[in-house]
Amino acid sequence: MTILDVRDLNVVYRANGREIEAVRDLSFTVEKGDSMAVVGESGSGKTTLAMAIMGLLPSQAIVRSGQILLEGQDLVTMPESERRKIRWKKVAMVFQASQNALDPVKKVGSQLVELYLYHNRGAKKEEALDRVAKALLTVNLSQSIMNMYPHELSGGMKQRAVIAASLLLEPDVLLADEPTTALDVVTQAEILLLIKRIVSERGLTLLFITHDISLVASLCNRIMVMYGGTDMESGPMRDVLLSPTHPYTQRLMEVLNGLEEGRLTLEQLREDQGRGCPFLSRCRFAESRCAEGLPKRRSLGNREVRCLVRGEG
Amino acid sequence: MLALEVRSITKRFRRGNVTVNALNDVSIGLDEGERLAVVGESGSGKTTLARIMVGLEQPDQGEIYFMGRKVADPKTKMDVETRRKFSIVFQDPYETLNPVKTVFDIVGFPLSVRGVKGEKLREAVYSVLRDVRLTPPELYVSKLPQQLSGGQKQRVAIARALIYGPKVLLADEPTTMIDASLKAEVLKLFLDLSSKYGVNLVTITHDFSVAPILSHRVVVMYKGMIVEEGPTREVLTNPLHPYTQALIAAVPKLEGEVKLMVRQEETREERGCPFFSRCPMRMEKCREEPPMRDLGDRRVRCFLY
Repeated sequence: MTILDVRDLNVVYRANGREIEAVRDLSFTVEKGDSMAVVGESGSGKTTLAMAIMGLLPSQAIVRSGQILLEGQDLVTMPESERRKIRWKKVAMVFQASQNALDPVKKVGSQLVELYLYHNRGAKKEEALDRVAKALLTVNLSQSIMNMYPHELSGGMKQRAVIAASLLLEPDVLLADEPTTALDVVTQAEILLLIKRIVSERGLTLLFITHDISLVASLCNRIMVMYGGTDMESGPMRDVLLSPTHPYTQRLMEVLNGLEEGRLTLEQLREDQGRGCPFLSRCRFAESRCAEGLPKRRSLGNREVRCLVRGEG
Repeated sequence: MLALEVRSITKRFRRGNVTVNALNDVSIGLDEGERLAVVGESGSGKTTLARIMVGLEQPDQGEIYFMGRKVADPKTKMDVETRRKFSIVFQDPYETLNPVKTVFDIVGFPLSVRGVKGEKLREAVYSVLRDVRLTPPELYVSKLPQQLSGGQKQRVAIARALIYGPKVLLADEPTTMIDASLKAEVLKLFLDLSSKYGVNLVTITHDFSVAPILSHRVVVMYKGMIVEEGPTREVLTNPLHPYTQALIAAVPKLEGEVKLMVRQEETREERGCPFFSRCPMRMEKCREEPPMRDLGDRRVRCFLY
C-alpha cells in the first residue's frame, strides 16, 4: 500500500524579489513499511522536501504546484487546523542537530510530558508519564534522565531523547533529516542501529535524509538520489548501489568505492550553463541536447531515472 | 630533525570551580614532510591540541618545538614570525568566509594585511587560485562567497590558507560538510598542494575513513589522552586499543553494518583509563591509569599490551 505519494512538487523560495527553485518536478512514492533514503548534497532540496511534507516550510517558501498525498489525502491543500492533527501523530520528524530542539531550562521528562499532553487533551498526567517512560525505554534511556536537564546529557543521549519525543505520539511515518550530523562516529553508529531497530519493531515507514550513502546502505531498502532540487534516480537500494544508472549516482559510487580502497578519482568540471540538466556541468556523458531542459523521468528496469543519455538503444 | 614537536603538553580549562583536563601529557613529533591525522570524538581534545600546535593557545605544561627550536611553553607565547609558519583551514567553509568580501579580498588578505599590494598581490592571488583549480581566476576574483558552491568555498578557504607559504597546514574536519561526489576533489587538493607547497599537513577528524588518504601517521585521542599512535594503514587494519577498534568498527561502509563495540551505560565513571566506563574489555587493573607502551613504530596506552 502506498502511504506517501509526492507528485510533481515544485517549491520556490522568494528572496529579494527573486525566486529560487528549491524543489523541481519532484515525484516519488513510498510504500507502507519501506525505508527510503533521500540522498543529495547540500542545496539539493532534500530538507525543503522534508519541511514541505511536515508543513513546516518557512514563510518565504511557496509550494508552486504539486501534491503530497499521505494515505490519499493531499497535505498541500489541507488547512493548517487539519494538518495539526496529522503532524507528529502520523508523520514525525527528527531534525538536523535536533539535540538543540530540547529546551535548556526544562527537565527532559517534563518536556516530553508536555508534548504528550498538548496532543492528547484530557489525558491524565499519570498516563503521560507512563508513555514517556516507555518511549525512553525504547531508545535505551533510563527513567533517571527524566529528572535531568539537557546539558547533563551527552550528545548521543540528547539525540535519543529527541527520537523518543518523535515516537511519543506513535507516528506511522518517521522523517529523519541528517540525524547524526553533530555526533561522533561511535555515537552515530549507536543512533543508526537504534533507528533500524525501532523501524523494524514498530513497522514504521522511514524517510532518511542524508548526504552520505554509506550511512543508509544497510539501513534502507530504497533510495532516491536528488540533485538540483529534483530526483535523478530512484530504485531498490541494492540495485542502485551495485549498478548506478544516472551519471551523478555513478559519480557518487565511484568516489565512495574509491575512498574505501584508498583511491581518489577526479572529475573534470565544465562551465555551468545554468539551464538544462542540473548535473550538466559535471557530467562526463553530457551531449548538446542535455542543455535543452530538465530531462523527463523515465523507467529503466526497476529504476526511475532522469537522464537523456542513459539507457538508450 | 623533527619539523614540529609537542612535548608532554597538558591543558586545563576552568569554568567556575569545574576543571576539565582537555589535554593530559600529550607528545607528538612530526617529521619534515610528514602528514599526520589526529582522530577522536568531540571532547577528545583534538582541536585543543591543534590550537596549541599552531600557537593559538598556550599549554599549562609542556613545550612546543619548531624546526628544533623551542617556540612556546607555559610562560612564552609563540612569536608572530613562527605563527606565520602555520595555517588553518577551518571546518565549515560556509561560515569562515566573510560574506561581504570578494574572493580576491578574502584570499589576498593574509598578504595585504602585511603590506603586499598592487601587481604583486594580484599575481599571488591569481597563482594560488589556479593552484586550487579555481580557473580561470578572472572568473572568480570578484565573486562573493554566496555565489560559490560548497566545493568552491572550500577551495577559497584552502587558497587563503596557502597564500603566505606556511610550513604546517592544519585541516580541521575538512570534509564533514560536503557530499561524497566532492570529497575526492577536496582530499586530492589537500594532498597535491601539501606536496607542492612543501607543507606538513595535519588533519583533525572524527572520521577514520579520510585518515588513510590524508596521513602517513595517525594519533587516536580519547578524553585528552593519546590512546594509540602509529602508521595509519597499520592502525586501520590492526587497531590495538579497544577505543580505536570501536572507532573503526563504527565507520559506515557500503557493505555490512556498523558495529557498536562500546558499553552503553549512562554512568560516567572518571577513574584510571579514560575509556574505562565504555570499554568492553575492562579489567580491575584499568582503574589505574595505563602507561603508554612502546611497540616499535606504534604506541598504545592499554593494559592489554
